[in-house]
Amino acid sequence: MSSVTLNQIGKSYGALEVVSGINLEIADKEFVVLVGPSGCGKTTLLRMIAGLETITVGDLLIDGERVNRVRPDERGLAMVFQSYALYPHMTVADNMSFALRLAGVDKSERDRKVNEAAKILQLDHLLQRRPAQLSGGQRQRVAIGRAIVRDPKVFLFDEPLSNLDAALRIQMRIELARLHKQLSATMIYVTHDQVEAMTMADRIVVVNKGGIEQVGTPMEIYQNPDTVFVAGFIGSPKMNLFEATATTVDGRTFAHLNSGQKISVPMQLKPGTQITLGVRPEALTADSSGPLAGEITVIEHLGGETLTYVDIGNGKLATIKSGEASLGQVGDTIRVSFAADRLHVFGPDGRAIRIQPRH
Amino acid sequence: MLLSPKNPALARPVVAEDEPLINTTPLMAPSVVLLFIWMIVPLAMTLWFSVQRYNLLDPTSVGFAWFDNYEFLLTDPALLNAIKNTIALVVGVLAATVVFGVACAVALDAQFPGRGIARLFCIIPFFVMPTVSALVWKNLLMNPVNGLFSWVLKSVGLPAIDWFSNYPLSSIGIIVAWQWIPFATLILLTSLQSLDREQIEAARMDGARGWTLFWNITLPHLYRSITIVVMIETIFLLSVFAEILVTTSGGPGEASTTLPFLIYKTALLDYDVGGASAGGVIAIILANIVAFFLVRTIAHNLER
Repeated sequence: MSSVTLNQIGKSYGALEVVSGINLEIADKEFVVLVGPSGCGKTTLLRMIAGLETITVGDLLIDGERVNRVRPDERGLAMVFQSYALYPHMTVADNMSFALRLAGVDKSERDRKVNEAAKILQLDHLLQRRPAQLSGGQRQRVAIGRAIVRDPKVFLFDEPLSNLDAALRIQMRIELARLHKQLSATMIYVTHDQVEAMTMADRIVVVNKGGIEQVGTPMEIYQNPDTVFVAGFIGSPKMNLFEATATTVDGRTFAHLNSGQKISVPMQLKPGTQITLGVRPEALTADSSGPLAGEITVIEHLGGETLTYVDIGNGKLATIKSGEASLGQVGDTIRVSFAADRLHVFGPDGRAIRIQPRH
Repeated sequence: MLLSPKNPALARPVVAEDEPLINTTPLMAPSVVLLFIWMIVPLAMTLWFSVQRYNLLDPTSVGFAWFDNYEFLLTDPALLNAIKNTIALVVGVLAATVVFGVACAVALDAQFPGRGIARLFCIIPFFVMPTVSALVWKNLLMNPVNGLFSWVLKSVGLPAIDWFSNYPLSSIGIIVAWQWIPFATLILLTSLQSLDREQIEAARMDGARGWTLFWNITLPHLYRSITIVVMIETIFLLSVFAEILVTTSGGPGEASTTLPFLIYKTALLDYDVGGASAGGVIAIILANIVAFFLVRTIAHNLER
């Protein structure tokens, strides 16, 4: 068992509060991804778990034991850094066995563990090289190997893929997911890339402005974002968000978009309420009887899919994701519709107003 | 002429891959010629004087001495003594500056109130002229009667030490080291500041701290800068002169006479210009041997 519990954790530098009131339960063998924009406090949070930053308020428990004041190396965690932080003057094997050497593990045991980790990561033939002689992907694997060798309770990853090129990043993403299964270890992973979060996580924690916005499985978060921020942050291309004012006509509620058009909303709202409507690009379809009309300004062909940007007034663009076929030509005016249950409504406080209970 | 292509066949608008478009040799010539004269004239004169009979006290004794000057010098025990003293001074000061330089750099890299002032104070000795600092050490610190050190020793009931009589070479070494520690500190401090913070954090996660962190991470990181410090300091330490002249004048006896001081003594105290020139040639040869090994090891280290 290796669970991590964060209880009302907060961090401040003098009067500046960077993280506050974090409550989170991370279960054994879970892959949790902390995702958020840069500067949101996710890395600070990870560093507090690692013991590299002190915790200002709250309790951090590992396996039910409070470790706020335990030294980083005694918390039983291993961390993979963004810059890999390999020791340049040591060979790959020495890099990986450094922690064991300091812990006084004898040579044969060290070699056995290093070889074991090297086999998992396909580093066998590189053990005598120095980090400077390795490619980015290989360094990344050595950094992970250094963590594996320590046999930690929890793996911590601080944006480990952000220094790799796109193709390698996808490959390492798959490799990390495989590694998680193979080691059946608890992993906490920090990233600003929502694609990494969506693809690898058992659970995603969306962090913004030093607090947790929403916790849930990738699909929960994708389908039912709790806040406007989560709605806009998770998903690519971004969810369409339209600011609007609620009005009532004949007992039916309409959203009067700031860009000029009107959409009926399947719920009761007080007239004059400032709301934000959200619709995923793939939920929008071209439909000659649709409620929204606009001129096509840009069409992006991505091969298997097409992104069409429609100006729905005042320069506000709606993104439509469709299949290979174009919805029209640039300059055409088309009408757009969407299924009522794909509409997200957010109140003036930015929190979701549920249209109907979802599964 | 300068801009004309070297090869008329390349006058086409095609740019040659390796051939520079401008012939730069005439542009470099003035500085090269000047430097060459600067170097070759003194060298030639030294070589010339070293085979001459040339004594300032005896204008009548002239003509070629051929290798008599060398023979006289090489059979003189003073030369071997001077070489030994030079090596002892250079090696001792190098060791002291590297050890204390690393210690100062690590201390000044840490976060503490008044760090800016402390850094400034640490650098100051480097800006004090060698004669001035030697006089300060001689008269204010190491003086057996009025010096600070003797006062400290006496106040705890110990006998005062007559530094320059009993430990002449070590005393000069202390003064020179005091002057050069700031240099080592400066270079090593900048190197420390380039040490990746994440690397230290990774080492902390791996269980290194305090001494093990220093030994396994910090010191290997400083290795290159230490070789730089050693190389640059060796060049300057081989020619230490002012500190010796001001404090001991090479004495007592020959106890603190180094090679540069021996040459000075032969030329300007014994008035034997021929013998001093021969000493100079020997010094050039020794310096080149040192430089050869130094440059080779350092080039090897920098390549790693």
